[in-house]
Amino acid sequence: MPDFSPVDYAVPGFVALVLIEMIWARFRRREAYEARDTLVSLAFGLGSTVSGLLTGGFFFLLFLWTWQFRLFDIGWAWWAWALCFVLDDLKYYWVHRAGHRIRWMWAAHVNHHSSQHYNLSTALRQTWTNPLTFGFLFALPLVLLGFHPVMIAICGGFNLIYQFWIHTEAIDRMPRWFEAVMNTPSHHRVHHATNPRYLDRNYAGVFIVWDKMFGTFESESDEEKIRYGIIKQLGSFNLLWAVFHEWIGIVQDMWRAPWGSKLGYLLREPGWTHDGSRETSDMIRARWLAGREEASLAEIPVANQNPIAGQGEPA
Amino acid sequence: MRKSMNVSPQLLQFAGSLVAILALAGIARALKLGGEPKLLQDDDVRRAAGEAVEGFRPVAISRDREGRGAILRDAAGRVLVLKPHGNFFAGRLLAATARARLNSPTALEIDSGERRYGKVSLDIDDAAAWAEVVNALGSTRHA
Repeated sequence: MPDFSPVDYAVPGFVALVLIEMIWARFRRREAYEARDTLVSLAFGLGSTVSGLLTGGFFFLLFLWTWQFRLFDIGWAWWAWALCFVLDDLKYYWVHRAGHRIRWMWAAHVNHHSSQHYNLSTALRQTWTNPLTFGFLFALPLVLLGFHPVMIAICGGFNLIYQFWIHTEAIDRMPRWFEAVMNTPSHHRVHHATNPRYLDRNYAGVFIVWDKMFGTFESESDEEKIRYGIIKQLGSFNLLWAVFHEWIGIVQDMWRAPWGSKLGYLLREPGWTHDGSRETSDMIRARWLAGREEASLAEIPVANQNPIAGQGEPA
Repeated sequence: MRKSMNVSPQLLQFAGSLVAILALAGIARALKLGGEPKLLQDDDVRRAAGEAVEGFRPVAISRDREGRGAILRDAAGRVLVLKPHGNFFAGRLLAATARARLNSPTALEIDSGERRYGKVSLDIDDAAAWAEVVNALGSTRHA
């Protein structure tokens, strides 16, 4: 494992900023924090560092072993660091997208989304079960290109640190140029929302441009209040249930499913069922869009809905 | 000679983080952040229901006298129960495994059938009628 971990140095800053946001909440928005929710989120953060310590060494050794098959000797030049940071962020976009679209990976990532609050403590609500997913595979192309695993780990650490401050409602919008390129509190609020228009949007880590490039960007609307969390809210502050509920759900669903459908509960998107008894985010969004279209049609006078009648209208 | 105690830096970091976590949660409580959510009128119930299950449009609503939850039914016969969770509400569409019982003529206790979501107690006028609706869910689904 690399000796230097930027996240370790950032932890005191995280604690101080959570405290500052709590004081802001005391005077501006008391509902922004809730003690039990904060405790669960922070316990997630602590558990995730333990999980990382226990398993990180194995993945680091795996990456080091893979690195001997690299295509290029990229080295440690300044431009290599910059390029590695950008490519690692692109990798983050795809691993994060997979985290929302493949239930096996969602079982780990759901932990980060299961709070109904959105504050800096939510940023620290990190999964304990990442090592049980195949997320590490997404980093292998960088290793094979020739970026040293230490460089990738350090860039990943700075990526994580960047993402801390965007988990807040205390900041409305950043300057336009910044919103255009970077991930911001506004863009990431959209990502944590369960409103149908926002489901599975804004996967970016540092640069929001990836969402714009790959068609998953949605800007925050001032007309619709955001609600946070997951489609089926936990309704419990039990830490162990919060950590493992989706894994348990997968096992139960696979156990009950007919043989031909078992793998679907592992590899298809969250909410998928073989009998259509639950809804995926795509289905929820489609139903919401259909309802919106119906409502807007109802607002148009009947004569305008009929093209022939419409032709008779004065120009 | 005294032996110096060797504590690994990782263990020290873990202990420090644990203390910080407990301190922050304690501060959130001391600052009285959060609060108790209340459903004071039927519009609050409709909004909370729509947030719990997208597109849920109730045709029948019974709101707890203190606003600490509600039970609703939509035109399709789906029954939704809402209970406070922190300073928000969490809802469940009741399945065939749900059960309800009357603790008094106005005290309805609903067991969602989901252990972690738990039981919901509501103080409502038409408790007996709702108990019947909930307990009938199993029979109608299997009819």
